[in-house]
Amino acid sequence: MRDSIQPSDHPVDALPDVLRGRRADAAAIERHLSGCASCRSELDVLRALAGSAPAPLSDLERERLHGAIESRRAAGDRRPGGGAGGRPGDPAGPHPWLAWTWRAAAGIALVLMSIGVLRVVQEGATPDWDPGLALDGWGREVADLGLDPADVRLALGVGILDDPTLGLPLDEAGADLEGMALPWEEEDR
Amino acid sequence: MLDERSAVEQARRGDERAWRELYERHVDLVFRLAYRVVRDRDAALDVAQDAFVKASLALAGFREESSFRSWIAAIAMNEARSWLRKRDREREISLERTGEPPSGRRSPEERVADADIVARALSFIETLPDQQRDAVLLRAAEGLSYREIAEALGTSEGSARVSYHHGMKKLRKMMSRFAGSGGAPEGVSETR
Repeated sequence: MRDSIQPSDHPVDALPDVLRGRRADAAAIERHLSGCASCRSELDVLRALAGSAPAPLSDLERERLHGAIESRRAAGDRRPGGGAGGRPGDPAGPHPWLAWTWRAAAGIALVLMSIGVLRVVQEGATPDWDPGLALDGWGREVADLGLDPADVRLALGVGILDDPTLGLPLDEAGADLEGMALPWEEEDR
Repeated sequence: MLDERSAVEQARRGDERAWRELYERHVDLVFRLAYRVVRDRDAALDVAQDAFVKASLALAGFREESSFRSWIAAIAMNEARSWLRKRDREREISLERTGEPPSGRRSPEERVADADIVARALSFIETLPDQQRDAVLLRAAEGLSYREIAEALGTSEGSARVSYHHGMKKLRKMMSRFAGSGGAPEGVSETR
């Protein structure tokens, strides 16, 4: 036998099959073996390996093993092939699509929360923002004039109610206000 | 009795009888392969159990490009290797804790000193690279064809053949070196 890799038709390739009585040309290979020390030593190794098989499983071992496998399968997924990872060794999840749904939902929720937080932070960072006024551009202008937005709101509200040129009908609340002294007028009296 | 392809197909659809048939057909192969790697009967039974559970759960993803036999053999070998790695890790932890050398970490030469020819061959096999060891076990010990070995190892037939021959060549060298080291029998066949 050569030291290099053997071609497929070399007798050494057939030795494992000869050992198992699977070769029709076993007699020819035996003749080769009688003149080839290298092949004989390979056959010795093969015999040793073939002889390394454990004692066969007893019926009891076989049944116990089957029982253990079935109970583990029942704990994971009853149906063969169900919940498969796809490749040997993949962890088997019970319902992969369910896991993905949860992940997707969690991801969307996280994105929405982040957007909300960012908006709040952005708006909160605006120095003249006043949620009570809620007039966006107006708020900024009022702040630029150095006025208190709360005062402006009050003045505007009363002015609208009192101004007949706007053509707004005075409702009951407006009528009650008419002629009423405002806080600072009260102080002047 | 179902043919292999039908058994796989029916088992995949949830037929428990077909699954049982696949189990009965291949449990001996799986157990023997596991035993030859882990060299402990109870551990081999555990490995066989893990292999069948994984095969059952992954059956939907089994592509019939390979035979079920070589597929389950590959799973068994992977599980056996995982078992060995786990054992080695535990022994390392045990060594760190106690400071005692674990019995399983002797050199191949030390380990075979008190072993018979079969145990010696298996000890030497442990020292081979994974692919060579798997190819040798599948071909020499189980008689799988190169095509089946290639399927099990996820490689080409030519590569499986090369791995097998490289592994066998190393094994023969180790065996003959041991035989020539004195005290050991000259030819392994003479001890049988």
